[in-house]
Amino acid sequence: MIKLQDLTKVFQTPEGTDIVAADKINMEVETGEICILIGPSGCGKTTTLKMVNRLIQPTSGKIYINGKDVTQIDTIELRRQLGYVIQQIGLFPNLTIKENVGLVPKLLKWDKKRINDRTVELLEMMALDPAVFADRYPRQLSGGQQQRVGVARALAADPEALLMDEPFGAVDPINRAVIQDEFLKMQRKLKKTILFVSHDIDEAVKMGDKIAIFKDGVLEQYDTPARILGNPANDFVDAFVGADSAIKRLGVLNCEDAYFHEPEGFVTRNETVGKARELMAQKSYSRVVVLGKNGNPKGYITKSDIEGKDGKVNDHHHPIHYIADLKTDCRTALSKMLDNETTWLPVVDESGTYQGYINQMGITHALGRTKRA
Amino acid sequence: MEIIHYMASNMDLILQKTWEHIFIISIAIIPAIFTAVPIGIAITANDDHAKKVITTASVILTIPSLAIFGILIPVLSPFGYGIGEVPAIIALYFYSQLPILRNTYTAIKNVDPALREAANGMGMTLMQRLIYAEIPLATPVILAGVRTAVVVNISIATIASYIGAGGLGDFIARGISQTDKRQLVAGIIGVSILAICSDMFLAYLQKILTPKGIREEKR
Ligand SMILES: Nc1ncnc2c1ncn2[C@@H]1O[C@H](COP(=O)(O)OP(=O)(O)OP(=O)(O)O)[C@@H](O)[C@H]1O
Ligand SMILES: [Mg+2]
Repeated sequence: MIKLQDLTKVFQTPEGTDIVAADKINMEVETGEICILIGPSGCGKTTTLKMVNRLIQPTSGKIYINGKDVTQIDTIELRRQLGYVIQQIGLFPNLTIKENVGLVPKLLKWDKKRINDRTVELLEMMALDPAVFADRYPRQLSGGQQQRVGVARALAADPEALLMDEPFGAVDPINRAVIQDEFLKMQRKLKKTILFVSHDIDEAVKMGDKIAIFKDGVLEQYDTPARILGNPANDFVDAFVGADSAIKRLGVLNCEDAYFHEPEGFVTRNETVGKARELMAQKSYSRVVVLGKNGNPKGYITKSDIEGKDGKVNDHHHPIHYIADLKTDCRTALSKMLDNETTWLPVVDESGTYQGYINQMGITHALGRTKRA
Repeated sequence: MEIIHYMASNMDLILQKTWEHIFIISIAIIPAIFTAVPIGIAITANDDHAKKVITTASVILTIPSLAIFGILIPVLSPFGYGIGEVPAIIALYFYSQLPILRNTYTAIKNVDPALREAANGMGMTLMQRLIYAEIPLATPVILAGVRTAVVVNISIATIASYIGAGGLGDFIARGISQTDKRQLVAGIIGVSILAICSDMFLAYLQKILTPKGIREEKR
């Protein structure tokens, strides 16, 4: 856990005026959570981050990591526990990509093979082919590629927590989405405590367990993405999250929050039309999902499809183009509905078992519920 | 023709004097590197100190070499080293400080602050930061300082002949005192060739010691 208590930083300019880069900041980042620091340029995100690893000395206030005051920890020791991705990337130009990533492990005296394996693993995670990039020098990489190396380097020695200053700022949107996904996948496994500076509200909503919105050194709101989007604390936050905040909230809402639970609403492909008709009448369903060979939803049939017909349901169903699962976000689900000109999607659990369906009405209601919450 | 003949028939002596020349310069420059580089690095921590140290070193460089030899004679005489190679080496050592330490200072100062911050943020110690990043990156500029020091020293060492330090200056000194054009020109040619060769050698060294990651791309 990282806790900031009344953390304040005042810079003195040469002309003698004071710049309050951080103004009595109080927040707690739970272990294993990603906290996004966001706000307009110059609002103090970098300053706040650098106070945590003591690259900047606070003017006043305290920082605790797992309950321990950071000023009580040896600086080198502290920084080794906190992987750091600097905003300006800062790779060593005289070292190869491999050497850059393996530098901290080398300083920690890992053996060669372990360093090598770790480097390969991290480069792959950052979507950089080790065969192509490992022996190159930083200047032979694009800005976005260098940035990814910077993230790999911060992760190398498996630090407990990470401080990341706009780590994907220079990465193109396509690769950024890939890396964000890879990063989240890693995070679900490793559960690191992460302070992550971003200036992109979409990235914040996607990556953050919590979002901290800053303005002129003041922490304006610190909450979950859903609550920041649904209940902005003030006009600044409201304007910052944008006019399409409801659309953004779709991204933090999962199908499990909005779907209709109907686990019996299916027939298997070899069952008879009669069976389907019986099920619909009995449960007053207007349609049922048809499960394929492997138990996945493969199509659906409605009452009118089978009126007066017989044989197997397999011969009468409509195809299904997209299957959502409980963890699919509603933004994706809605987009898939629009794409496929349909108003609903079947929903399965992680094992692929049919659970029910999601439709636009369900999403609208779920959005309303979370707004009032 | 006469000169070529003279040089050919005295090749042994010329080579011996060249070797003496190289010897006193090397004995001076190697310890000079080991003091000037650390000093150059140390003063990057404090701009005030840097100014003072660089000014002092610049002042030393402006003292005429004969004056330094003159000062060193009474200082070293009690130890029996008033004249000869020792005062020459000591003088050359001091003359080497400025170019090397100034270049070291400038090079380390010019290392991208983002690198320094990244290194600090990664929990590297000052030593680790110097070894893995700052010194390798500063190497080409430091070596440029060494090159300057060597070329300056080759000419100053010539003057050291007057205090009995030997070297190619002997030909020039004798050429002047005996109004012997052959010796004078032989000395000048020897010094010039030595200066050109050392500079080329150091340029080569500078090239191979420049980290691959920051070398100019071949076109
Ligand atoms: N070393 C410094 N001396 C004086 N002022 C500083 C210093 N570092 C930062 N500041 C000022 O403090 C404020 C916050 O800077 P900071 O770098 O934390 O902003 P930021 O939120 O990271 O901005 P960006 O999104 O542009 O990176 C700015 O007004 C900046 O000018
Ligand atoms: Mg910043």
